[in-house]
Amino acid sequence: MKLHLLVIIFFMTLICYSQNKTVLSSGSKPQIGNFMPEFSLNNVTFYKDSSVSLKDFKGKWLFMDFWFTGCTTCIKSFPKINDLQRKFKDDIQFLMIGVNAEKYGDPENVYKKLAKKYELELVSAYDSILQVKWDIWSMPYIIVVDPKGFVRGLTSGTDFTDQNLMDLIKGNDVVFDDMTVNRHKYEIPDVDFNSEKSGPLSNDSLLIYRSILTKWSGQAVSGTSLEKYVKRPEDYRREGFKLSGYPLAQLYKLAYWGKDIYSAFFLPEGVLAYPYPVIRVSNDHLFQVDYKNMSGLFNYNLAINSLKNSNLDKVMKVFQNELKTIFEFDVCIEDIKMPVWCIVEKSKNALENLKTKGGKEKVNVTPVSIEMQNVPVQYFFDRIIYELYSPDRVFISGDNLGFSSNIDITLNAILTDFNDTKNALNKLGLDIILLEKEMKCIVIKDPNPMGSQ
Amino acid sequence: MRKYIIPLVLLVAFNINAQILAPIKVEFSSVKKGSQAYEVNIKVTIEKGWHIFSQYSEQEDGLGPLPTLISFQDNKALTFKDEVKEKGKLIEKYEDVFEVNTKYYEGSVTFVQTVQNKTDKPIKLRGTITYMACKDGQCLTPQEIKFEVFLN
Repeated sequence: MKLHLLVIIFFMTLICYSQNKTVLSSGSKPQIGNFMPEFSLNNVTFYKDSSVSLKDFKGKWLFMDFWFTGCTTCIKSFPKINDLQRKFKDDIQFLMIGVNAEKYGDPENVYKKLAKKYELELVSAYDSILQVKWDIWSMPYIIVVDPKGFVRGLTSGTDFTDQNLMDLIKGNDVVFDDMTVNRHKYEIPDVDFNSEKSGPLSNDSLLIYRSILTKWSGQAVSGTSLEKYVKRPEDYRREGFKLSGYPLAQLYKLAYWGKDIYSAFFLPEGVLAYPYPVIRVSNDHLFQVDYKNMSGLFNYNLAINSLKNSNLDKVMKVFQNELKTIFEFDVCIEDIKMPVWCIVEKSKNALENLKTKGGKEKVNVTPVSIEMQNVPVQYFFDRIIYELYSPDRVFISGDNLGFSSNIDITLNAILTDFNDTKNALNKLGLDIILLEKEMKCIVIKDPNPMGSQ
Repeated sequence: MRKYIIPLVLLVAFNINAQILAPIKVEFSSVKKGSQAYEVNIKVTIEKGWHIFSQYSEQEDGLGPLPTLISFQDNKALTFKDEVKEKGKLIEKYEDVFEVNTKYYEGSVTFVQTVQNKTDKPIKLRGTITYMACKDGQCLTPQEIKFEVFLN
């Protein structure tokens, strides 16, 4: 009986799936060059009939103009559309469709108000289904249908002029800006880390190890460091270590330092380390990042079910091995002299003078000020570094002055402006200077043809 | 027969669930600000020519662009301090058609929420950002991005 049921469900889903497919492939969406799909609308205003369908407009050009209440551009175009409608009233019928799905508010009310103010006489209907059915994702979205019923344009209408509408009516070829061309650019898929194969590993999951690397295709950029990941509660660790939209150099950084760090930092043995990998490969195209063309960016998911206890070293090793397997580059840690910015005392006892007078820990940061009371000096330095961060300005992180007391400090400066912040620090007896220091660096090299290392 | 309805509904829902997002890049992160105090940063980078609206862009009687909306899932272990702050160069423009002051960002903006973790355990904070992106001649329909940020 159970099997029977399953078979039925299977066929039902199959039928459902194929039905959805046929609807789509038979052209349920308006497409340039195809016949306009049927539609009908009720509650049409400013028109002789209160309900209309496609056939009512045969013999005339039909311009279906979709808009929604929050759309500034749509509403700004109304007077122009109204003007065109008046001029071409014998040949063109504009049909305004205000999307009235709940999240868009009440377009009818908005239109009435605007109609009064701008003396609009546009035929106006309200609907929430066609926008979804026809996959309209940007507005104004104007479907241009010729008198025979063929779709001739899917456009925002920005380039409508008296002249090109006249040409269109006369039978000349007019090409409007095409909304469908860039459609793919605005689609951001979810990172495919949540399907059955890639979701959290359950306690009794048969899957014991998983590593997925995909090209970034525009998902929201997010991630964490291995260091933080291994400290998470076990439930969360089962989802795996996840990154999306990370450049390859950052993957190496995480694999070898374990930290998602942007400043030079001290390794446990007290040696200074440089955050970013030094790339010494003959062809570095994999390291070139381009968010617009979505190249050089990756999504990564690593889950290890056997990892019951937090073990940073082990996860780092696994990640390092994965990178070696996939990209083949050799990696070593070398001592290299690198330029690095540093917050220092300009006048003696500058920090001593900032020593806290006690009181409650207080932190208040605005874009133009930092106000801190009774906090470790490192909080203050890290904050400055965070605000001034840029990939070509690497700082030494935090407490490099060996000052152990908490401080009280007020700094008034545009925190993202380097010179302004430097000047404000000068006033407090502090300074930002550029040093050259020997540091441990991750060096990425071409694979050695003689074998590893 | 009732049993068969469930997979059908699921499948249809799955097919409709298309995602469309605007020409923006969104990065979510948290910064430790003090003992168990965190700043949740939602950094939005906007493609040239486009803009997104401030949370405080005005609407008058249903008229006006859709302000950005940021919401966090209720979490008993967290206290939310103040409202969501905006860091970026705010542009104010009076729109005659709406008769309101629209407020928007070009280039980039960071939305910042300060939270206090009342426990000593790391916490996952979930939320959504809903925004509308416009450029000259075109507005994308409002989009929602779900996010989760770890506070640890």
